Amino acid sequence: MARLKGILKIHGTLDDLTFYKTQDGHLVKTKSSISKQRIMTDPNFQRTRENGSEFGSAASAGKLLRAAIRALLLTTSDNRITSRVTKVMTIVKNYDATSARGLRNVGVAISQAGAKAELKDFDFNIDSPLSSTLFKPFAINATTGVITIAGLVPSTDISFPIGATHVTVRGGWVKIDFAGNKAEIQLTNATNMAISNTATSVTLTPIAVPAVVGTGLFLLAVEFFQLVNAVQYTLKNGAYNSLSIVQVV
Amino acid sequence: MKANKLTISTVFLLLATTSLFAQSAAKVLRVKDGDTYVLQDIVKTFTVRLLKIDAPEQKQKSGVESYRFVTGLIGGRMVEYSGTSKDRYGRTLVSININGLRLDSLIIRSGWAWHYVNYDNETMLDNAMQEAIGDSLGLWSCGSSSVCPPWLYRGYNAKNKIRYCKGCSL
Repeated sequence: MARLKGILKIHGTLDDLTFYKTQDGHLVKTKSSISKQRIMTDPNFQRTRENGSEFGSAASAGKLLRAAIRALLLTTSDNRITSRVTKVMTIVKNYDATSARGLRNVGVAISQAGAKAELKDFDFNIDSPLSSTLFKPFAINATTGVITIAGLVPSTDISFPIGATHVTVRGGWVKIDFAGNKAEIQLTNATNMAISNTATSVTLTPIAVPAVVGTGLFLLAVEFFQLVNAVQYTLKNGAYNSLSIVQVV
Repeated sequence: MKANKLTISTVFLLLATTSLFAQSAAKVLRVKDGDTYVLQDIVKTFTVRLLKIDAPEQKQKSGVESYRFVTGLIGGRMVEYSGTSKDRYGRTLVSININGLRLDSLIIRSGWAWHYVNYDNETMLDNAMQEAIGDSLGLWSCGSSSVCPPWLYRGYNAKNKIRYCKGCSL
């Protein structure tokens, strides 16, 4: 049943029109005239079925990545992370030049340099990209997984939100076997610093080398806190926190 | 003649300046929460908010207790207030005295509000809050790690409210 909100803001379905509200505003869509059965069987929809199959595999690859880094993602992602990861995986899958149409997948494509480049610098919080938060260069040792930031001065090298008193930097080393649907993350130590002019050399060392054989992703996260009465409280549900894939090997 | 005019305008200016900082008397009609009250003076009824403290929201742990404490302290009584500026909700930002004592320091020292450190840095209020924490008074009855400042609580989602603002059974 349609519901009138205000003058023209309707929620619900009227005949073939569905009115709904998203964070982009009030939208309306029409009901599809094509049945699912026809899409699944009609030869004219062969290309649609192929696209659907590839999209499904890209979505699964995205879910594998999100699940693997959940420990970092909980405090550092925006609310459209699922669709954005699926989108980038769909682009990655296009680098698969060997599989037939409808069977292209991330597991094969990820060996290509171009595919890895698509994943590199992916920001899990689009509202706070790492490149706009951390302005100090960092080095990654791809063998040991150690990330080092020499002489980090939080007050000048980090763009911090109003109210933040402390910042935590931490990393993660994920290895993902997209073809075998396996993933493992090893988190690094976290370095917590007061936002001051004091320079700190940050060394983030993973607990171990991930055992899974596959594509290696190195992640770097920056989280902000407000210190009140010796307790560090997260700021605005992590809206200013950053998490990015800084290297893919 | 010119000298007289100058004297009159100087006196007028002094009176006007003094009235800006003067304290006015009003009756507390209603306590909305620990830091927001409805006052009534001779000409009007208006809502005020204490300038330097932030009391727990009514939905927050200890919010009701804070409200009850302040109601017991000033409910229905005459208070002296000063302040003219308004916040974004139209509330007049004030300091309130009751029997010559500052209400904000009374509430903080009794452990029923936070010193609003984002907007004020008065050391006395900071010390009063630390003393209240040390004495485990009011909302600090089970320490300072299980309560969260109202200014953060207001923006928290359910997950963070559980994580930071769980409070303790009073």
